[in-house]
Amino acid sequence: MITNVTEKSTENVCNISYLSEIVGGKKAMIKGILDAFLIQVANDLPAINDAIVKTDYGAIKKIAHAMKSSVSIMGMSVIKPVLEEMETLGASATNVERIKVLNQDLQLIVSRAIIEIEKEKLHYV
Amino acid sequence: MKNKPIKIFIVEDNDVFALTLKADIENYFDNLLLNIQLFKTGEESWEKFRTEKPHVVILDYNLNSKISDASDGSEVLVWFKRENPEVKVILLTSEDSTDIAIQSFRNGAFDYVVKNEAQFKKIHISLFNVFNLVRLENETSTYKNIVIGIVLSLAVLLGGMAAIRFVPMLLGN
Repeated sequence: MITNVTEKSTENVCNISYLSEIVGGKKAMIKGILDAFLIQVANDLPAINDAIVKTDYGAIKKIAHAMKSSVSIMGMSVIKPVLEEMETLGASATNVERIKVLNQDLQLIVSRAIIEIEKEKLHYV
Repeated sequence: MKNKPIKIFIVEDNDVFALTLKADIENYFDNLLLNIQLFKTGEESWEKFRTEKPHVVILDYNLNSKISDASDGSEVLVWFKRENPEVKVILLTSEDSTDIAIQSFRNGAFDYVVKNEAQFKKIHISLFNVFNLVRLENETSTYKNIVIGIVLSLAVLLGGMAAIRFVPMLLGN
């Protein structure tokens, strides 16, 4: 594990307060953005897995890079160093073994985030 | 400016970022009438860009992270400025690169904002400057039209007065 997040830890990985502040607490807007995030990560996670299987460093770099701005909006600061390292390794086309380790953290944290956001969305119906 | 909405295009392939930016701008500039439209690529925005003539475009530099054959922001900037030199383009990039900044300004970008923690605040400042400039341009255009109107009226008046002097001659007196 690169981060302190484990399957058993109870601390939230998302912090929606930043997003809420940006959009002035408007519930419909927040819900729309949360929905977009869920759709986006549902595509990004398999895509990055696929890129790692194929050792496609260019794709790893692009996906990690694109995910960075989405996760920062969701207040997922814990995942930022993981994505930054994946992007850097992807750019230098080295160390796929390290990328695989980082990817385990990424998958775990984003899975946790999805559960948190699904719960959070109930407040914005 | 007061009655017509300010048209803003956001060209960005990250839906979460684009939606958040739209919501942020609408929230921050809630005293202005804005019409904000979202597009994932320059290609997707092109027809609307030509017909709707937006005042401002917020354009991501990396437009091919999801659609690999999409043109990048620097190319799209060139198309937009060639089609409408008046449009104000704010280019968003993920890296603070002097080369990209210089290239962007050479190609006519109004501003260049690096995506980081302060990104939304920097976009507010940039948009604030754009809105002031658009207002000044509109005011200048209005004053220009008023001056043209006055000059034309004077010309008609003077021409009419001159013509009146010939009326007696025409009547044979």
